[in-house]
Amino acid sequence: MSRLAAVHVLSALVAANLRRQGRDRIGLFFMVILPFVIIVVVGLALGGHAGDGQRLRLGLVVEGAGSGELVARFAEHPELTVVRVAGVAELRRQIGQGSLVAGLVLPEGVGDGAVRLPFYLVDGSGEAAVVRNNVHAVLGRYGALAGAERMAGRLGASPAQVDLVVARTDPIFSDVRVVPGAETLRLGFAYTAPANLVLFTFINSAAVAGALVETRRLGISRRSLAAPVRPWVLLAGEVLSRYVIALLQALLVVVVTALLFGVEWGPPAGVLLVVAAFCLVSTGVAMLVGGLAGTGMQAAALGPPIGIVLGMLGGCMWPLLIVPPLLRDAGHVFPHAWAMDALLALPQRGLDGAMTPVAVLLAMGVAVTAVSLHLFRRSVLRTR
Amino acid sequence: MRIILVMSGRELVARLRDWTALLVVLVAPVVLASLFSFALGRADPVAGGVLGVVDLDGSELSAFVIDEVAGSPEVAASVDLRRLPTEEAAEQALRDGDVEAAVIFPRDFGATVQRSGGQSLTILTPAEGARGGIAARGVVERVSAEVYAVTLAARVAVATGLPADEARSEAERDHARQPGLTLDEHVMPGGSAVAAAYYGPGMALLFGFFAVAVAARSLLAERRLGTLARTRAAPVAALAVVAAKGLVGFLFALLGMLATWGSSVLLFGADWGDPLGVVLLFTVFALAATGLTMALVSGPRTGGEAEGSLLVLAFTFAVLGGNLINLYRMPEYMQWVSLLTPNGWATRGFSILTTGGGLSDLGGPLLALAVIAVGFAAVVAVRFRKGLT
Repeated sequence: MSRLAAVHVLSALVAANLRRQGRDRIGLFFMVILPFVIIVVVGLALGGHAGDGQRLRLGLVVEGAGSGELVARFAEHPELTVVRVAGVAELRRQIGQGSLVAGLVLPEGVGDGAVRLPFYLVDGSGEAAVVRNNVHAVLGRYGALAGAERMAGRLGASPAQVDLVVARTDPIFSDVRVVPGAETLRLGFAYTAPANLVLFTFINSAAVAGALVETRRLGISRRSLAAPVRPWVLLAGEVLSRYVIALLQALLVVVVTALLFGVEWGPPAGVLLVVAAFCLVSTGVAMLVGGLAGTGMQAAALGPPIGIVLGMLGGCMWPLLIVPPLLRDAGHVFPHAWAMDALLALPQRGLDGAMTPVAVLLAMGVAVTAVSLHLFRRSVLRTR
Repeated sequence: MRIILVMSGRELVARLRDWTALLVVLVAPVVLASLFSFALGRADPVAGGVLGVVDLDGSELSAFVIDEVAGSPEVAASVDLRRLPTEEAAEQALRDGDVEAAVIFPRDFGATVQRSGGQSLTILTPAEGARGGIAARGVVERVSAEVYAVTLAARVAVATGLPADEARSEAERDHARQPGLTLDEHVMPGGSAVAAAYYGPGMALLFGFFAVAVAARSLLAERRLGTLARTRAAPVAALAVVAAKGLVGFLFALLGMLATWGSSVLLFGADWGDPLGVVLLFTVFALAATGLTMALVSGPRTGGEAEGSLLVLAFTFAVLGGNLINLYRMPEYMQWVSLLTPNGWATRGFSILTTGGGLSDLGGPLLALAVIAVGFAAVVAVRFRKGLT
């Protein structure tokens, strides 16, 4: 078989498999629609376009009159979103559900001076601790004037003297400066886009393994060998088809999220390299399942749960930065975590910052694909 | 009824022989729910991460402020402090990802505060609105409010003729005696137990659909092989086969959900609320999932299409219904959209239970799920008569 003929057969196989995939409406749903539904839903929940931070939601229960100025100070706070809540029970319910980070009750007589304000927060919540600092700050500034007036009353200073001191005393303020090139936790669409690229490229690759199993079980591949085709060309055709499908899936996520959500992916060559390496791993796993699973039903039933578990461990459901170190280390046994490391590093540090994960992915991809090809070849060629 | 039970029994045994069914029904939801609970239970350890501090002033006041911050357990809950020698070192630490933000005390900090109170502390942050920057600003604002209160009172005392040192001491004593508005903290339970009480039901609901799908796939296989059509030769009502498969799917869903509940209670000490309410929600949700799933495979579709549709259904409902991400952190319109799914109703039901509600508060979710179950059971009855073979 000449090299030209082999290429011709190879391209015919890839084209046939792509046509088959194109006719599978459900498969297309998983490739073209579901990833974007999840990117939108989870992206919105994680702050959408709001960089990596969200305003913190503080529930406020106002029980009496006289707290108007304090409420206004909270409402003006740049880091807080104040939500008025009807009562303490409702406040506790919303904090328990997670729609509020913390809650403050302003009881009757709050303007009179020394009052302890009930403050509700969830045990161990770092976000609530940040809210608490800001609440303390608002209360501190509010109470500073009362303290000065108290001192004036005790030492006999006139109101005019107090006014003069207040006018001449500035509080400490913060001057925020962004450091270019610094690491930051990406959330919103900037996080869900790469996360779902990795998740769905893998799950969809695992899903096509069902078709591979059927191809093997029905003896289609074996019968194809009756034609003047070398076994390696057939195998290469299967691998290349899955690889092209995985690549198309991944690139679709990159292009659509860049255009629709303005996600910055980093240098195109770097993105292509990471995606190519991860698709190799996904294809290898698909071939492995295709060679090992007993029935197509088994492969179809197992693919999504396994894909979700590996996605969770690999940081596709939440950033690995926020999970316990043990889980973070466990995640790096699998390719998802390395792919996420690489994709999150690219926009900030370029290809140089992603070289280690890319190298690991390539090594995993080559190893898995080699093993799976061996197994798949053996199971296809086995005479029964 | 006896025929349905006999057929269900045989179907149950056949499905249990296939280890993938056990994996999907029992192992996967328990593993996923545990992972979610473990990871998200302490997903929020220190919101601002590590905060770098650079004291270029070296004055008594700057040292006092930094010591106060470092020694405060409340501040420690929002950031971990790390001292750095220079501004350049802080910038480099930010670039290396060693700190998430840094606060710089300028050279004349102490003198300026004593002179006029006003001073600017520089916060270095990796991006506008970055978590570390927000947490750092919270710390600065809190400390600044305290310094401002003492400074203001001290300057009033100085205006009355008191020497500066004495005025400052007097102001500090007064601030300590009468701190004004303070917080009376009420700490609500958190951590893995709370995460497990949200994501446990979430995984149970997602895999409830997968579990029913195990039985539905067997129906599709029988239809493909023609055994479903052949059963019509026997004196068995056409819908008996469907009912038997549905019953197995329902039992699988219920079993998986109960296992997830049990594991979340045993492993994480999660409290899902009133047990009777939990079981009722499980039961009605499993009925709704069974109705929907069987309706999906009852149409004149090819086996592949129907199988794929099962996954589409399970994933779409789980995503929109708030099973993979906290529903109450989504925008409000997405919370309304979730009500188009049985998962959204069930999630609401479980939230009612976990936040202290009882059976009497579950009317809405139970009714909605029951309507879905009955509605789709009717669809199944009508469609299977047409498309059984």
